[in-house]
Amino acid sequence: MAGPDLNVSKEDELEILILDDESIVGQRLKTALEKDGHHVEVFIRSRLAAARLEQKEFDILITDILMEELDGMQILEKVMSKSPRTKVIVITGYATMDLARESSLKGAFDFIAKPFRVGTMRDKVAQAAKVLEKERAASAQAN
Amino acid sequence: MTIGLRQHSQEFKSSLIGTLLVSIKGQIFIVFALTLITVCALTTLNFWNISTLRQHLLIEDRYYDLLSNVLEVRRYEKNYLLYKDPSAIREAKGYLDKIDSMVKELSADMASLTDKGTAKDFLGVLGSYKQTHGRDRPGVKAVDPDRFRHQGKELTDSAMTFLRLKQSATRKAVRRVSVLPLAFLGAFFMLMLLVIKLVSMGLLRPLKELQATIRNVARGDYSPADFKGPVTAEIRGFMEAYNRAVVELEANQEHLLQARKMAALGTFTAGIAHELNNPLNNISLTAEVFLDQYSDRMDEEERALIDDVLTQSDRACGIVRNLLDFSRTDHTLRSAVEPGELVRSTVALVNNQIRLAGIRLELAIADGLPPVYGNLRTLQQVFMNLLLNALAATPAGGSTSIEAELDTSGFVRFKVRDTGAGIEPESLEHIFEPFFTTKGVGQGTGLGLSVVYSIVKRHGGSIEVESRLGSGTTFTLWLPIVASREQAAGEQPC
Repeated sequence: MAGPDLNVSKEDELEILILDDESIVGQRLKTALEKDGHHVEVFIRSRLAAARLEQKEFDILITDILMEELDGMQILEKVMSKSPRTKVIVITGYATMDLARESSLKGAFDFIAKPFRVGTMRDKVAQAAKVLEKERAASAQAN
Repeated sequence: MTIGLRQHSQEFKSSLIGTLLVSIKGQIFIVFALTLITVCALTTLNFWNISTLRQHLLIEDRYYDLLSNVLEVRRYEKNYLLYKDPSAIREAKGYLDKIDSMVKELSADMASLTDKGTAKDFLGVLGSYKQTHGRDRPGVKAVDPDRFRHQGKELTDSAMTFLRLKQSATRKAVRRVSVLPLAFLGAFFMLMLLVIKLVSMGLLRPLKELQATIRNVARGDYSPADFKGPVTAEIRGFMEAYNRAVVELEANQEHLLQARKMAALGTFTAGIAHELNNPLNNISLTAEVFLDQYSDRMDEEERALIDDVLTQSDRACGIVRNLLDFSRTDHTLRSAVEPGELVRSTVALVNNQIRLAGIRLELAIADGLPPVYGNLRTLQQVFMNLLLNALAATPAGGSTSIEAELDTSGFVRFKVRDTGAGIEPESLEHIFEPFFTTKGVGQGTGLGLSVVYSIVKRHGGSIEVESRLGSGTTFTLWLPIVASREQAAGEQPC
């Protein structure tokens, strides 16, 4: 497990939404990511998560693919149309090449297959944070 | 040289006859030829018989004439003796001349009817009778009537005997002619018997056996046709074709069954793997986060316990990953992979283990092999699994080898050979099934070969295993070569 960057300052705090119908995934990731200094909201039902995503723009969305009500792909499409800067990390137990390709075509930031390690997720979040930082800097310069 | 040639031609002749005798065509040919010859002979015989009969009848008429002429002469003889009429002798002379010419004509037949002696006797009697007739001339001593009569009677008796003999010869000829149709019937009967025998032995019995054998195929019994007893060339050809078809059918059936079994197992394992995936993920996430949160407050032993949970869940995750690899039906990105590079890069990954095991590895990669169409990483997994198995099976000091060469019909053939203990024949058919393992408990997951099978199948290739107890195992796999320019151009999903 590569040691993630744990020294997150206040301005580095990210708004993260985790959506997985396996409640334990959300709870564990919340614990881990909050320890890293991020603000995490966890949802089990995709419809509720979708409603929350309507209300608020998150930095990072971590979502499962296969769920009841709305599936991860639909959530991904919604988020990409409403807030393209949100980095979406897709997780799935049914890791196939097609799924990976589809999610990347639809604008997902990354794709993680279950079972995965917390460290892996931390790495992906850190990468997303870096990209977000760069984008922010670029847009600040443009302004 | 000449002897050689003669021997050769004799051999050729005997082999030709042999071929004729063992084929239905030849047998029928021979039977009909024999029948034709017999019928020809019988017809000739019949023709000869009838002409002989006609001859007999004609000659018989001549004997009648002879007898009636003799009787005529005797009538004049009577007239002469009773009435002393000299003109009677003159009249009789004409008849005697006729008799003379008849006897000349019939002499050969007479000899054949009786024997030469009897015919001569008759001629003698005729001669002396004529002499007696001739004596009645003026100035010659009168004829002795008793002797005259006696000679005449002898003449009549002889003529009658000849006639009787001729009649019996004619009757014999008639009998012979009437027997011939029976001979025809007999020949025809023999022909029928032969044909029936040939058809039943050469065709019907083998066909009946074959019918039973073919019926067994419907019940799934693919044993080859084996007919005990003489078999004609046609039936043998048919049986050979049938046996070949049955072998193919059985092989196809086995392939089909194997493919279905593997597909069913794939679906089954995919279901299990996916169901296990979430709980396993939850366990490992929980253990990890637990360790992350509370490790500062835990002592060494407590941390070790959680480490065990993590290690074991990792292990379970590995199994699930393998199961998913086996049951995967999606396609990875494929591109042109050089067979040589594929084999060498895989060997590089396990080089250390090969050295540690003290086993010699020989590579025989043919030059100028075309690239195969596949995914390097998954194909490396195939060869790695096969190599690791080969290493495990081969005792230290043994050797393993990998060969690659171009096969016909667009495939590169790879052979991974070991000189290990070999696999039991009854294990061979299960070897690609998940969780089937010949290693001891805890030594292998039993997934290596099923993953190999699944990957090879997904690449449109095929894999076979051959093994001899005590001398080693060979896995032969065929991977398709790059077929089109688009495939060669770059990575493509398929």
